[in-house]
Amino acid sequence: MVPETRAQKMLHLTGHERTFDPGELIVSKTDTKGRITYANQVFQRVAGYTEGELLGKAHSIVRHPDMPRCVFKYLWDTLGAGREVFAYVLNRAKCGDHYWVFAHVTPTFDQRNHIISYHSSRRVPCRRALSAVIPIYQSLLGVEKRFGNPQDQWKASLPVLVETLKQSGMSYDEFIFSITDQGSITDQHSGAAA
Amino acid sequence: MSEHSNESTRPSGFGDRNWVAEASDVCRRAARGDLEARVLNIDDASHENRDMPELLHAINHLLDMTDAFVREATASLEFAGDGKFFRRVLLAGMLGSFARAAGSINAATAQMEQEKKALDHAHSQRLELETDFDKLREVVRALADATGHIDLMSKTMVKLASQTSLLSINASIEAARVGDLGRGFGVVASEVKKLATQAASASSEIQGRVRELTGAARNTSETIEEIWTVIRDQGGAQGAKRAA
Ligand SMILES: Cc1cc2nc3c(=O)[nH]c(=O)nc-3n(C[C@H](O)[C@H](O)[C@H](O)COP(=O)(O)O)c2cc1C
Repeated sequence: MVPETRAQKMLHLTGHERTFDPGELIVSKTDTKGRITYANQVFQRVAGYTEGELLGKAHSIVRHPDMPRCVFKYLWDTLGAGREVFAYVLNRAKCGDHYWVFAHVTPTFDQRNHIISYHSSRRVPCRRALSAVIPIYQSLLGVEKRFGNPQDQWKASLPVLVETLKQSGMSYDEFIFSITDQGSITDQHSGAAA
Repeated sequence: MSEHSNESTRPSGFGDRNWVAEASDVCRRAARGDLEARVLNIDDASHENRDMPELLHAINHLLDMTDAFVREATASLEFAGDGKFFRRVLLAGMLGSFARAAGSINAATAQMEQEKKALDHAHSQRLELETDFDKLREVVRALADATGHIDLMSKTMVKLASQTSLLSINASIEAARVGDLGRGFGVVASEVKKLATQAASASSEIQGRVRELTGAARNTSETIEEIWTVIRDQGGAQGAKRAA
C-alpha cells in the first residue's frame, strides 16, 4: 500500500450526503487486484464518475478518509478465503460528497473453484445500522490516527474490532445481520410479501 | 472472457463498434450461465440513436439483478446447509419474482431453523434422560449387590443353625453320660436344640425369600441394561442427524 495519509487529508470533502433509491443496487465488479472492470449506471450516477473514468481504476477511487483501514483489511482477508463479506461503507463521490452503502462483496469462481474476480452489490443502509456502526468506526479511526504507516494502523485497530465483536458475543456476520433491518425496504417499494 | 469478447467486437475506435453483435454475445454468455458478462464502455454520447444505449443499459441492469439474486440465494443456502440460519436473502432491491423467490428461500430457512431448534431441544432432553437413567442403573446394580450379600449371609445362618443343633446333640449325650448331675444341663441342651431348629427353619425361609429377591434384582438389572443399549443407540442416531 502507498503511504497516502497526507494525500487523503487533502481530499476535498463537502460534508454533503448523497443517497440513492432503496430499490436500486450500486453494482461493481473488479479483477482480483481490486481494479474496476464494471460499474453500473447507479454507481456512475451516485459516485459522479463516468464509466470511462472508473474502468481500470483501483476501487479505492471512492474511498472515504473516514473509513477505518481494518475494515478493508478484513474485507480482503475474507474475500481471499473465498467467502462473502458484508460491510457498511462510507464512500466519497468525485465532487467530495459522501454516501453510505451496505455492501455485499463476493468472489467469483471459475470451474476449478479459483477466484477469477470480485463482485459487489450495495444497498441503501438502514439508519439503525448506521447508528450502530458509526461509533465503532470512530473508535477504530481514533486508534488508527495514532500511527502514520497504513500497516501499523490496521494492526492496531483490527484487535479493537475483534474485541468489540467479542463483547457483543456474535461473529462479524451475525453482528452485521443483527443491526440490519431485513425486507422492510422491498416491502415498502414493491409491495412484495416477504 | 469479458475482455476477450469485447475486444474482438471492437475493431478500432469506439464509433465503429457493432453494438447489436456485442449485446447478442453478452446475452448468449448470460444464457450459458456466465453472469459476469456485461456490455462495457457504452459511452452514451457516442450513439446517434438514443435507444441503443438505453437497450444496452437495460441488458446490464437485467444481468445485475439476476447476478445479485443468484449470489444472494447461493450464499443464504450455503449458510443454511452449514447450520447457520441468520444469513437470510436480502430482500432490499429485489422485485417481483426475485422478491417472491427470495421470500420462499427465507421462509424455508426459517423452517429449517425451527426444526433445528426442536431437534436440539429433543437432544438435550435425551441427554438428561441418559443421565437420570444412568443413575437408576447404579441404584439397581447396588440393589442386586446387596441382595447377593444377604443371600451369602443367610447361607451362613443356615450353617450356623445346623452346627448349633449338632452341638446341642453332643451336649445332650455328654449330659446323659454324667447321669443325675447332668440332668439340668441336658434340659438346657434340648432347649438349645429347639432354638437351633427354629433358627434353621427361619434362616432357610429367609434364604428362599432372598433368592427370589436376588432373581428379581438380576432380571431388573438385565432389563435396564437392554433399555440402556436402546437409549444409547438412539442417541448415536440422533447425534448423527443433528450433525448432518
Ligand atoms: C468488489 C470490491 C468492491 C469494493 N468496494 C469498495 C467501496 O465501495 N469503497 C471502498 O472504499 N473500497 C471498496 N473496496 C476496497 C478497495 O479495493 C480498497 O481496499 C479500499 O478502498 C481501501 O483502499 P486503500 O487500501 O488503498 O486505502 C472494494 C473492493 C472490492 C474487491
